[in-house]
Amino acid sequence: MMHKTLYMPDRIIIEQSALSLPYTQKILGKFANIPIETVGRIHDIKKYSSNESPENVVLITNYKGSLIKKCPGSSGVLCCNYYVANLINGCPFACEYCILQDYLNCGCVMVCSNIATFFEELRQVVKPGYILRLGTGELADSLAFDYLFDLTDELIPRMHEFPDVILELKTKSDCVKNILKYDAPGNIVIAWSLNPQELIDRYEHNATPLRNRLNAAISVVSKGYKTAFHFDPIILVPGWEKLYKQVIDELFASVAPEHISWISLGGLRFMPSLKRVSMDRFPQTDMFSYGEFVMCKDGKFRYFYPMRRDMYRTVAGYIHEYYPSAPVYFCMESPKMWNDVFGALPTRISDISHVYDPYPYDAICGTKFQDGN
Amino acid sequence: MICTFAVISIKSLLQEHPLLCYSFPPTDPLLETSISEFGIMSPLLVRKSGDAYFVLSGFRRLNIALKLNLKEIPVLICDMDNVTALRCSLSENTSRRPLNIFEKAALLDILLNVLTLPEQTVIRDYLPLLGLNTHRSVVDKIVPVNKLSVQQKTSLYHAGIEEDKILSLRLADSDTYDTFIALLIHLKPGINKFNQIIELVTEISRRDKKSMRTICDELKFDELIHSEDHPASQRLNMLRMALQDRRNPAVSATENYISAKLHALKLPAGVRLSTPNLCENTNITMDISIKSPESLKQIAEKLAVMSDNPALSDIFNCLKGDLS
Ligand code: SF4
Ligand code: SF4
Repeated sequence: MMHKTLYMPDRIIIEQSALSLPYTQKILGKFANIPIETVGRIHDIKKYSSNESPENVVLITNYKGSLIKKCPGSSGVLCCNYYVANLINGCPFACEYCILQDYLNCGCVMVCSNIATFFEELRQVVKPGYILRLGTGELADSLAFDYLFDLTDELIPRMHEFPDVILELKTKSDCVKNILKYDAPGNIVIAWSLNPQELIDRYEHNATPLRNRLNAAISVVSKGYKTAFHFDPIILVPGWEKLYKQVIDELFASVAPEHISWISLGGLRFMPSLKRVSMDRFPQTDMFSYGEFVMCKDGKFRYFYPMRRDMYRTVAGYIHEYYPSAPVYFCMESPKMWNDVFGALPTRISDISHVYDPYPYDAICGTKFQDGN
Repeated sequence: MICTFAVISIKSLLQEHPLLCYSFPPTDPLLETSISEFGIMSPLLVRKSGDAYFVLSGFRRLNIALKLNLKEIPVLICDMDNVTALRCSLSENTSRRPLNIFEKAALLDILLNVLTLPEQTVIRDYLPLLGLNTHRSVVDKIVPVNKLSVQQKTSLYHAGIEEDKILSLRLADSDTYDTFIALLIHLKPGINKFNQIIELVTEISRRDKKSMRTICDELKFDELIHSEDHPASQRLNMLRMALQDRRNPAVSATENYISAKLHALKLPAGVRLSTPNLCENTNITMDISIKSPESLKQIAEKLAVMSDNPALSDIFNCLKGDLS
């Protein structure tokens, strides 16, 4: 389990129509001593909670919008085929670079308890013959709340019904207790975001230490699960080469290449508004002080191209030392970067065909896919 | 609650600990004119404390009375606690005028740090009275304004500096306040430029492990701010460029290199080249403005010659990101 104090809400607010849902009832069974209130609609919940200390409020809703959507990606970059299911919004950790700071205006933890709707939607999204990669970690850490909400107990037992879907559960926690109850379905990948411990201490407040994340990875591998790892965001602090080399040494000392489905790389990137919010939340942060940033086409700041390219070459090089055919891909990078670092665009790299091939016609977010760029 | 009206000697008021005073500026010329003409029409709120009286509300009136050398002062003696007194004065003040940012900061500071009310209570019960959103970040942004000295507040107040810029001062170290206040007053940056300047100084200071004060001194901020050699807008640009060069040396060097090469290209009149999103792609964007078919022809001829200029290849090589 995590080593910092475990998150526990002060209050639970439930949308009336979510009250009778089976998943709501299961969650409530775990919170016998916490005050519970019911409100009419989600809109009332948001209004109601704005005066409170929002992080300590859990909202349970019968969410009416789409629970599954295409990962939004960004303009001017190549994107993998990824879909996101936002069943839980919010996170007990406090990463200084987290987009949720800028994104979710109600800082509460929100659980969408209409799981049946999620599976109905999933059935509609799946295209026979194609593999769909789906993650639950866009607006949340996929597993950090699993000790509280047991979401994996709702998802894992039913994933065998969806052989064309690969569900990725991405986390910075070591909450794998529920997962270990199940023999690994072949289509579930447990993924960890990794950073050097020094950067976890500095920028990923309350998140689980690196060693514990890797120990959790070892335990899921022993149950037959596939894993994935995300070096995202890579942060160019002084001495970053050595720090990332150590993490990669530790990773491959813990998990053998054949258990790894993919590894992604992404440099620190942010909208100008996020930097402002983060600097207000973490007034002493030095995260934005290192490296040099340039505004890109999508309005996000990224490390200046030559620095970023050298950063990727270095980190990918460390990975390839252990795993020459490692399925490494970029999150939100330009065709130019793909060509400069990997010598080809993703659809031409067989090692990552399972990440990029399935939906070739919509493998791009924002720009037109030009193979020869 | 029963309050008693009295006229008391001004000497019997305890003035050494104006704990609950949040008014700014401490005096008001209109109120002073009125008091000098008609006296104090609205009594101060006080609480008895032994033989003396503790002022709960009415500090501006008291300051003016002292300035005008009044001997006696009308008061309402009430046995109310500090929190109730503060709420009372707040409701009286806000019914007349909105509080300015200095007053809001002082009030929140008193509530949190003098009366030690829980932050949650302050957010829930007091922020709405001040017309502010009920969120912790609002408190975090406003309270640091109260760290400014009276002199600094006075300079900002009289220069009419906007609230958002005053709030941005919280991002600076306190020993740079005077410099940034002078910058606001003399160079008049917009809020985005001002925020960018503070952010750049912060980032350089953290990267180079030097204080913000040292960075300002090394870049000769004070000299530039007060210099008479150039107009304010130019000094502001010079300051921003000096910061950019220091913060982003590789980006600046690349931009300078490209700019020198563009200069060497000797572009025809009416043609402008730019390199958007530096090095993210190798595209050069061209804007052409023509006045006649002939001018287009002339430009086309010159551009054809320009395409062989080695400076153009140098720019493309640079945009590939191969810095030397
Ligand atoms: S773990 Fe992910 S969701 Fe949680 S704070 Fe960090 S970046 Fe945000
Ligand atoms: S590359 Fe990143 S942002 Fe783009 S679709 Fe994949 S996961 Fe989403």
